[in-house]
Amino acid sequence: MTRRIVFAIISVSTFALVLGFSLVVGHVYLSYAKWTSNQLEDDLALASNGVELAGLDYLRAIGRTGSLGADEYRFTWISSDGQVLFDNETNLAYSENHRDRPEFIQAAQTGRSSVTRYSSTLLETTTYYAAKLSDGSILRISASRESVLRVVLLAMLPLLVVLAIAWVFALSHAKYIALKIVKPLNSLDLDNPLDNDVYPEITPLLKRIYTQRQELDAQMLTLQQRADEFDQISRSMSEGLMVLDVNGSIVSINDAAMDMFDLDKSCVGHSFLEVYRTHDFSTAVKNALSSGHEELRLERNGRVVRFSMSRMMSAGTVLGLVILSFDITEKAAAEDMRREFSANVSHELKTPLQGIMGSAELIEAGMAKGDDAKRFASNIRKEASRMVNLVEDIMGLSQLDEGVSSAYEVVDVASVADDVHDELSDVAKAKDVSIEVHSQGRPVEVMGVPRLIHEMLYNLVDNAIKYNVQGGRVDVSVSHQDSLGAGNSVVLEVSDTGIGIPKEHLPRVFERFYRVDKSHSRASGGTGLGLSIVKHVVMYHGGKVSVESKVGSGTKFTVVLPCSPVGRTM
Amino acid sequence: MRSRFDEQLSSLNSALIEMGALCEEVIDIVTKSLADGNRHLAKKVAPLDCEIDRMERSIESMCLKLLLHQQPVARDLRMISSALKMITDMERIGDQAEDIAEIIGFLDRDAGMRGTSLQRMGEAASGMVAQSVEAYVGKDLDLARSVVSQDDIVDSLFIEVKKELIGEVASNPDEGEYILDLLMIAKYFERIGDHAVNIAQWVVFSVTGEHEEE
Repeated sequence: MTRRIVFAIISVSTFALVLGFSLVVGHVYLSYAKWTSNQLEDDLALASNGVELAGLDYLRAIGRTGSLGADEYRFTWISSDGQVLFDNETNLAYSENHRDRPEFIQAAQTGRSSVTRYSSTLLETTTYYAAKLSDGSILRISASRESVLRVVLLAMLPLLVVLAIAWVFALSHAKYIALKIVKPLNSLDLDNPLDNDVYPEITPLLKRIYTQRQELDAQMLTLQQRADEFDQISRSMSEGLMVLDVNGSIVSINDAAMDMFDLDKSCVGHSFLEVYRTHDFSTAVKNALSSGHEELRLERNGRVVRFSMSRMMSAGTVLGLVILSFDITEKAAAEDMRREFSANVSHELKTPLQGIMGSAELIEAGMAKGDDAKRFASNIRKEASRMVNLVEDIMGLSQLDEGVSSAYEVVDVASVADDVHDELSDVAKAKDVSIEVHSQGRPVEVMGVPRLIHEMLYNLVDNAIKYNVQGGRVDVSVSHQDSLGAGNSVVLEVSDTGIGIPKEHLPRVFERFYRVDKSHSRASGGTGLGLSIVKHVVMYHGGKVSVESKVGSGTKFTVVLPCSPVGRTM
Repeated sequence: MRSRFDEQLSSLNSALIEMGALCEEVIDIVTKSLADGNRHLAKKVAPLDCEIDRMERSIESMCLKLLLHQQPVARDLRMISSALKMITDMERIGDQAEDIAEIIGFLDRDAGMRGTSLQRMGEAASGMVAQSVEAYVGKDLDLARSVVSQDDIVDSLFIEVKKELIGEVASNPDEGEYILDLLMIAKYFERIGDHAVNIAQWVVFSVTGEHEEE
């Protein structure tokens, strides 16, 4: 800016100076030349008259006195044959013949002449005026003046001084001027471009800035809205969402994914491989980057996670990966359970049928005679009754599943326990197991479905006998408990001194067909549905069931039933 | 120039992490299959070990190229040279895990080892490998030093396993081969623990420049 201003000032001042100087010099020089010519002509006329009258004496006289400008001009009197008769500046002896001089020739012919000669060595212009006198001699008057070039050269020095002063002035002021010009520009309020009142020249620029600013604001708003939307969506989704760049570094990650992989915000920028070091995962990332999509299911730290990876492309280049992750631990567990359930149910249904078929085939082939036939028939009956039991259990369960409502009435749990005791005393005796029912005060009443409560208790005591040891005991205790928030409840405990349940099986004993003994041994009989029915009944009545067990020393089931039913009032 | 070097260093870093992840995975599989007596699971080790060997070669050539072309100094040199050492240990871990898997395949019993000292030893060695890789990832000196100190646990477990097996030999002389197999497995676990310690020490070296001896 400053340099440009300096340059502008200098060029303008130099141009003006040079132009003005040349105009002035030209004008002055021309008028001076004209003035000199007139003067010479006049002087020549006067001198001609003087010489005509007084001859050489006149010339000598003016040479002495210096009148008629004789101190400046050169007077030469030349005879008609070219001999110099008088010259006030040159010694006559050295004068050559002037016959060939153009002013002489012209004056001799026309009576008057004027010639200008230029001497490049002296940078002088000499003007000659000559007149023919009456006796044929020629009187010449001449004046030398400096040529234009010389005048210019002589005036150059002051001109340069002036120019130098102008340049110094330009330099010293340019910065100041530049600052002065720029200062209002720098203090422009670009937030409100139209409110500025600086130079009218920049108004179009300010208008442009204003419109661009408006466009920018609108775009920023859109972007912000999009970012917010994305943020809201990714924050509220329960699936993990991650964006990785081509090197596998995390670009963005939502809260769900951070929870899933136990990360915090600082993981952004790090490679996901650093936190989830699995070969399958890194292979899948590479595949997804090359093929575009990849699905992966991984098990790590007890969680099952399914990943769905999609490549992000923009204008033909791969930008990275979007990875959705779903925690499917529960789903995977449920799948496993379902698979096991169908294996179990087919097994449980098929076994008695195999027995029935085998026995029936033997009878059909006539291989069973007499007592054997009876034995086979009894086998068939036993197996068939087992199937009936199983089907009844399944039907009961599905009734409970569907929530078929039965009438609630007051049930005395203590007397139900007594009934169960009586019903199972034979079975217990056969296994040499003693049953005792303890109850704190009678009746111990709850609102419930008598049939279901009976079934529940029957199953519990039946199991306690079945999985007991020779000479073991079963204790059934029924009591009131007052501490269950909403109202009184009844606590029912069935403990045995049996074989116990290993710890890892405890959470699963209430599943249908789940058996601790995987060999599906028929030794203890049963359908594998007993505890499942217990759990459903308890839930039906809005209660809770829990189990404690120690291998080798026994198991204790605790059922807590609310006195007045809550929930399930269908 | 420098940015390209940085890029190469970062890809070396991720390759090393990936190789470490593979080691974690193989030893994890081996420990699990030992615990459950699952021979089928142990078969997954061999292909992973191949992958580990392949990665060792590729990381090695990556390191040599970097040393030759970039002539690194100070921290970069430490990182590259410790990477060169670490991959050897990682490769050994992979091989030993494969050896264990092979023995598991030949064991003439299905019963799992859950709850035995051998299984605890496997868990401990597996934990050490995981932690040494974790220490490398996070350049975590404390974790690296804790791995170094855990070696004593594995060593004392080895002595425990050995004693148990000696007792076993005395009571069941017919089971000799089986018991020796178990001893081999224990020894391999012990070696894996040592390699994890080495890795941890190289992590300390790459950060501080000092190689701490046990």
